[in-house]
Amino acid sequence: MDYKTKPTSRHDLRQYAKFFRHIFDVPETGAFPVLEALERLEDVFPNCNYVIVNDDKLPPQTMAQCSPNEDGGFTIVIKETVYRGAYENGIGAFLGFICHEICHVFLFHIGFKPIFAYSFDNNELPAYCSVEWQAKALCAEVMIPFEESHGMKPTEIVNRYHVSKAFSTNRRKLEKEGCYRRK
Amino acid sequence: MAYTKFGEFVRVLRIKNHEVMGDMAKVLGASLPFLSAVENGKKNVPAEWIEKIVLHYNLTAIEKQELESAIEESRTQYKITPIHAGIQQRRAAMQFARSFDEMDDETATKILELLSKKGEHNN
Repeated sequence: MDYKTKPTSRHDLRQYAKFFRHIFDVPETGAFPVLEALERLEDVFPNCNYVIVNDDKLPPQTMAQCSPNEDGGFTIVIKETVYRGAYENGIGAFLGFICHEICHVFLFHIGFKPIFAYSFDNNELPAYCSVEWQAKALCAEVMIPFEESHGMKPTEIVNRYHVSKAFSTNRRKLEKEGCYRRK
Repeated sequence: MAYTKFGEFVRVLRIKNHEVMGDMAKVLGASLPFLSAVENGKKNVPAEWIEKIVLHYNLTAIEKQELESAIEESRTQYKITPIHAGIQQRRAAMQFARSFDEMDDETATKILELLSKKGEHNN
């Protein structure tokens, strides 16, 4: 499920990523401390919080989800397995799932709100105006700082930034395609 | 769904001590979903957590009082033990308890004021 929002580009999201790190008092380099940022969610975004639930409380394919709550903010619901994997083993994919949801909250707060009340199927919308693509792309930019990671091999990216192999290989792929030319 | 007073208290404690919920769940010997449910007011705070939190975070007497006050404000369930009550008293207690959910803050405050005055008269 996806929603349409105002358009943006990867280049702009990269700039937002710096601001994202700044509001959580995280330096522009190094791994992003996802679980520590999660603790500070309510300080940064009023009325936003998170809950960890037994795995059977969310659909099998859903690792975490972000929904509006009754206080006018958002609640991020995370499967126990996902939080545990992120906390105990630092599993990059699981840290990514959680960071992705925080990115949804951030993007909503800076004005990237759904334009229509109805949803779209996954991959139905062009990437630039897809709520899901924007959160995914921002998450990658937050977790893998552009300047510092330039030219790194995927394994270096995985080890330094605690991200999934898929994230790291995608970064290298985009870099090779020229999406990461310095402007 | 907001944090309870207890949830907010322990969240701030964690941040001050550079910890996350996973660390606290270990300290308390609790599952993550249970701790999360307590912080969000779905479950009551187990009594044995107080000393564990005080010890682990080295809380002062004043901070311990604040913790206890936060726990009291976060209670979602109250236990009534009507051992010496008769059937009618038990029914009255249950009826009284059921009426809480629909009561607005202003009414609750006025009832508390009346009960307080009644207490003063009795003394």
